[in-house]
Amino acid sequence: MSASDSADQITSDDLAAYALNALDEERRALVEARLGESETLRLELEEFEETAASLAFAVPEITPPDSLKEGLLRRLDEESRSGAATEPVLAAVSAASAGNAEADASSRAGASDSDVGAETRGWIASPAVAWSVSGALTAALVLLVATSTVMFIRLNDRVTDLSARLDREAESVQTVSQSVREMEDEVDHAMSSAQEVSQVEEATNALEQKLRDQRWLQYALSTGTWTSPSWFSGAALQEASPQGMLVAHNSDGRALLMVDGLPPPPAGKVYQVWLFKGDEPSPGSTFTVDRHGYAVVELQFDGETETYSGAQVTMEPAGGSEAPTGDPVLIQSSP
Amino acid sequence: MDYNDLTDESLLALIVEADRQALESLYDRYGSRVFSLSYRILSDQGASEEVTQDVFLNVWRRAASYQAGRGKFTTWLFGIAHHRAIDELRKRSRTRLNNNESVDDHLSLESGDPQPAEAAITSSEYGMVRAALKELPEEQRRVIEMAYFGGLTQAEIAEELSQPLGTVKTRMRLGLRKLKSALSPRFQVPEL
Repeated sequence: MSASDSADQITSDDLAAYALNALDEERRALVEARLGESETLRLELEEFEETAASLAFAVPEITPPDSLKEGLLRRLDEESRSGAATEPVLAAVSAASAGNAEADASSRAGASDSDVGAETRGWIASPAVAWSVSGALTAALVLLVATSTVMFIRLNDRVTDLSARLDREAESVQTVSQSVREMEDEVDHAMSSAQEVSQVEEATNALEQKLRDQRWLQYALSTGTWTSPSWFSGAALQEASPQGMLVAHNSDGRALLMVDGLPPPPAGKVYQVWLFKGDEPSPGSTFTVDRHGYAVVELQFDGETETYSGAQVTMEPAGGSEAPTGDPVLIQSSP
Repeated sequence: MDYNDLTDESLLALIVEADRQALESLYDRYGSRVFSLSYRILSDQGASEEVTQDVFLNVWRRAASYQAGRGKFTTWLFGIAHHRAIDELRKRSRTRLNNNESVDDHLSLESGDPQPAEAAITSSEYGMVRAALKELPEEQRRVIEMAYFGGLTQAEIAEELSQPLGTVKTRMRLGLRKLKSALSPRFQVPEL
């Protein structure tokens, strides 16, 4: 088997990756091409796909807002309406096309018959008739020369007019060029304003996202008995002012930490939460933040929450650390 | 006709006949699950809502293409949802991608307002799949999560983990096989 044959061979590795959407486009296309040819491959893939689909259940279930279903039904209505409207229109267009085609065909047939008839009649003309035709041609030639002379005079006048217009328009071009330069300045100004609007929109979107998450958090808080929030603030010497809020569930050891204003960590780094018993930190969850510095992190206390004396957030290598290696970026400021 | 008593396949057959209420019933069964998966992948509520709507519109349009003999309805549905969410993720800047997270790092909120029966099923499935995932060796679980939730290709995962591509491929295959074994005795995706 050549190297090329081996590269084209679809393996179980390929099928597993296909089920997880983890193949590049080229390999994916190759798998899809081979699936149609092999029942064995297809059956093996079905097993992988079924297992992959079960991963959808590994995510905590969040109930979407009612507006999502309403939006879906609205889109369904629009699609149904556009579908209903399209068919008659298409039918009408189709019928019209068919009608036009028939009309074109019959028109072409008519013209053809007529042309053939004229040609046939011309070829059977007698010599006497040909003389008459010659006299008529002479008269037509005289008429053509007279007509051409008149046309030449008119054309000459027309060229003179056009030259004058060109002169006038050359002046206009200068005026228009000036206007274009002014408009370009205005466009630059407008672009600058648009950028500002875009920045405002971005900030608004970020605020809306936070509001939605806050609502979910409020819901989470309403589902059980939670402690009063503990507040976090940024360590000194940071340009931004990161903040955090932690609430702990009173009975099952769960806690939620919401942070805001942390810069996204550089590649290969994550943030990590440290829970303190006395001076002893124990490692908590790692997390990153969105581009607005925002995240909500789930924590799990080991034992009674009262035994913990505080919490901090540090930046650590990807995967987290057993003990803090970075300086704190958030420190619990209230118990 | 009580749509709640119908199987997924029966509802799909009605959707082929353009029965809108059948689609609503499927949405009621799986809408929040599709939304939750999309949100886990995209971390963006607006985009997750759009993906969820697209998925069910796809079900509406493509119901006739579903073949019951070629896998469960839920496999088909979550396959569509996963493709759509990953496509959306790949369109977006990878800077928002959180490759270092695992399922455990993510926010875990309880279902918003489930019916009691639904809550029991949901809680049960969620717990069983997570328990099965935890049975996997860490390195196998990690590549599966990076692919399924992070939208990374095998080559990207190999680069991210600084591992040979062949190692990543093997871990992915062995991980899925082990996950299937771990799920088999205790988990069946419910067919209503």
